[in-house]
Amino acid sequence: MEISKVDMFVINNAKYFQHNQLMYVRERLIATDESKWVYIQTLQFKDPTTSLIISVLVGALGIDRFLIGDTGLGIAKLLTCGGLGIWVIVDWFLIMGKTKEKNFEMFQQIVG
Amino acid sequence: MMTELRKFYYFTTSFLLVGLGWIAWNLFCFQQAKPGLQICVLKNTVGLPCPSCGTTRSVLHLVHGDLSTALLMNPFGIFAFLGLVVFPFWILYDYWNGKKTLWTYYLQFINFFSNKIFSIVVIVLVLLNWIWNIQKGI
Repeated sequence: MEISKVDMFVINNAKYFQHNQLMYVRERLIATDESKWVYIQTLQFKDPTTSLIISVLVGALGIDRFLIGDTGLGIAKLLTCGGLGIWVIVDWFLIMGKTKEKNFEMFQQIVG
Repeated sequence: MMTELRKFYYFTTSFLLVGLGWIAWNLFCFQQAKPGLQICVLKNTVGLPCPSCGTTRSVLHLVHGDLSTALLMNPFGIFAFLGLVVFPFWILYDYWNGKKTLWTYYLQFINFFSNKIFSIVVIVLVLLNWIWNIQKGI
């Protein structure tokens, strides 16, 4: 794919990925065929900041985990009062990284 | 890198160990007639109980064989109790036989939630339980 297009994508979507994944994302995009550009453009990445806000507000109900697609962990969190209150606090620090991981997985499914 | 499967089994095992430890500690407190620790973040901050508040007390009543009080306390306790009893044996069975039956059933169970009607029914039940909890003032 065209480098200028790829760079534009990386700049616009940098906040959705871990910083160490960005170089990989860029290289993969350059190597990807132009026909996949439309799919990549339409990918709905989850915003890590949103999931952090959700986690702080209603993390005790596991909503943050449901949001990023971890249904199993969401149920576990909901049924245990947010993992005895400890998991809730741990997730305030983990959820942004987890969201970025999920975004990366979604990206890999298309480009992989 | 750890595979999804291994992660799942490690997580479930540690989750169960913490759960069993928590129940054992609360049983000890119960026998000494001491109040248990109030750990719910929602209740400690907002003052309202969460949908799963009372699960520990419900499990404690079940351990003492008092099914009706357990149900009235919080029906989630039944699921928690069954999980705490069944899953350790299930994990041991998988471990000894080198199978992954729990993982397969877990994936099937999660797959139910892609069905919208099922998800909505579960959400409504949880919300009803929450309203009931708030009304009971658990």
